[in-house]
Amino acid sequence: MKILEIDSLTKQYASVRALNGISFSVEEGSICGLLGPNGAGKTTLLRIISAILLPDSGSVKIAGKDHGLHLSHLIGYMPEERGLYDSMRVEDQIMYFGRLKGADPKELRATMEEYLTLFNLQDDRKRRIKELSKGNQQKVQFVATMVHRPRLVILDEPFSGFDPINSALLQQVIEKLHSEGTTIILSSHNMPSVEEMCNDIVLVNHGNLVLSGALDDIKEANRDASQLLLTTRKPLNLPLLTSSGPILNIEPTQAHSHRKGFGYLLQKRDDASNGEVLSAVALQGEVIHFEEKLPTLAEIFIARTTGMEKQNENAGTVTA
Amino acid sequence: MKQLKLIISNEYATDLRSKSFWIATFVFPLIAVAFGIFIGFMSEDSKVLSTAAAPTAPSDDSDITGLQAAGMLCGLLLTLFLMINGAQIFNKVKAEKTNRIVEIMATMVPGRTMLLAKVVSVGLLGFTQIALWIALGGSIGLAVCFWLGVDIPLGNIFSLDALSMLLWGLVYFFGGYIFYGAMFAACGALSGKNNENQEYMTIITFVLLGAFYTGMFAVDHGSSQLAMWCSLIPFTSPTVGCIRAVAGTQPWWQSAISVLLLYGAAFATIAFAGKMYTSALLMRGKKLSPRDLIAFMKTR
Repeated sequence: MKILEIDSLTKQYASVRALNGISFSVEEGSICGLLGPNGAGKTTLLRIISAILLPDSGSVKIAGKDHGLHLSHLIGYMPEERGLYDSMRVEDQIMYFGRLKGADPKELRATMEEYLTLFNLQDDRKRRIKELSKGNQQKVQFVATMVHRPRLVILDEPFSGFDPINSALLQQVIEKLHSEGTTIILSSHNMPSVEEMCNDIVLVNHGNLVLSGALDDIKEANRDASQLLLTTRKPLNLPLLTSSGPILNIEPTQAHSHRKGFGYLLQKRDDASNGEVLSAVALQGEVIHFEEKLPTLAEIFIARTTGMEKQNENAGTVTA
Repeated sequence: MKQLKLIISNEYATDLRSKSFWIATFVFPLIAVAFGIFIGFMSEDSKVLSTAAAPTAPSDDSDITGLQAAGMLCGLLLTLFLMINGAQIFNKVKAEKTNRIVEIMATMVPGRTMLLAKVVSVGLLGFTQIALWIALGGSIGLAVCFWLGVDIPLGNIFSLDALSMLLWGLVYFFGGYIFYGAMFAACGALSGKNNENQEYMTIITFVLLGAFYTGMFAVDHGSSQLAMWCSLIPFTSPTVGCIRAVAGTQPWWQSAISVLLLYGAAFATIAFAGKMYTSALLMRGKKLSPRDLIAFMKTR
């Protein structure tokens, strides 16, 4: 089932077109990464999904229903810049936001206890927000976002301001939510985290949809088949390998298996097969790991967004 | 409606628990009374002060009637109430905007509900303060009357005239408070960390003072054309209409139109300010121009 369906969404601010006919959908229970450079239209898109803004045209459906504030109980939105009442106590703040979402106070309290325990905030429940550290304030913000048990959670840069330990903790909590069937839309510039956690990706730039779909499919579609990664037990004689045969270029890199060894990234000739490459390398030493190199999310992101910039420059148009 | 009640009760309870409320309620009046007593004592011994405090012309008690005085008092109270609480509405809205809470609230509650809740909660707090002052002042007054053996004219206090006066006073007071309160809230929505757009606040304060002075004019000239038109215009009707209605110089149909226009304008201003509140989210860090305000109204 699709929890979110976006169709031909446009939004214009004066002379700036923030969204330009964006369409995509998100399956229930998935973790979807929303990516794009600064000013791409991500925040506008998230605000429309959260019903803060209305689109100029196009539609948004949440769980098959036309979107609006009446569906706010289905959504939990944590914006990039946090917002809490400084003078409120932690538990009052969490309960207040939960009650505004229309949730039952008893259920809210039970969920709040669960999250306070998860984030080690039990002893801070009576403290005022302004008395907490920035990291703990962000934890409270996350709990307040989740306390009404939304089906769709939107997290805008959730890791910003967290130290590595708390980032890992947050990642665990997000994975727990995912395992319970909650759909998560994650907007972040932290590519490794997005790559590690997300099944689906939506990439926007200048208000246009650049690509969307399953992360594995996107990587597969963007892979360069001529690039290979291999690990050998002993170091290779690189000039000898590139002097002739199927290998165009080879350079040392990290070992690509859990076993100790010497890692290489190599570029094969277009007409060469993987078998020919392996045979050539095997003449010099034992190969313990071999794989076709898939691009990282960061590489796809950079390639696609800079590619669009060039296209725009060539066409002499400004789309955002 | 449930959300409105929840926000109002939360805002009201938070403010009621704050130290500043109790200081403003009990310490400031004490300081004012102490200052008055000090001036009183000083004037007895000081030629300069006694000359300054002396009336320049003999008073003429027949100048205004009791009802006119009551109307004038209503206008004065509304102006003072708005001056004090308008600034509080402005600050609360501005704080919520600069804290970025508005972005979270806007995912749950429409802008106009947020704004109305702010205006109502600050108003309730103001009334709580007045109620505490009346309770305290009344208790002291009763104790003094009892101690001095003075009769309290209960018949005058609970007469039909007094009740009708109170009713008109309250109708205009609430309408005027929501109308001007929404405008102060809109100013807060347009302001930011750097206090940009404070000039809108100055404009509203001047309009409010203008309304007050027109009201004072209407005390003596309640049946004039100027007073009649000003009692229909929502910017001036909270004071002028109130003074005329309380003093009995306003026909019932004019009162009805005046009140309808005032409440209509009040709720339209709430809707306008609410829209501005959520739209201004997008314009952070930029000084807003009148053109931006028009763009906000067009934004969906």
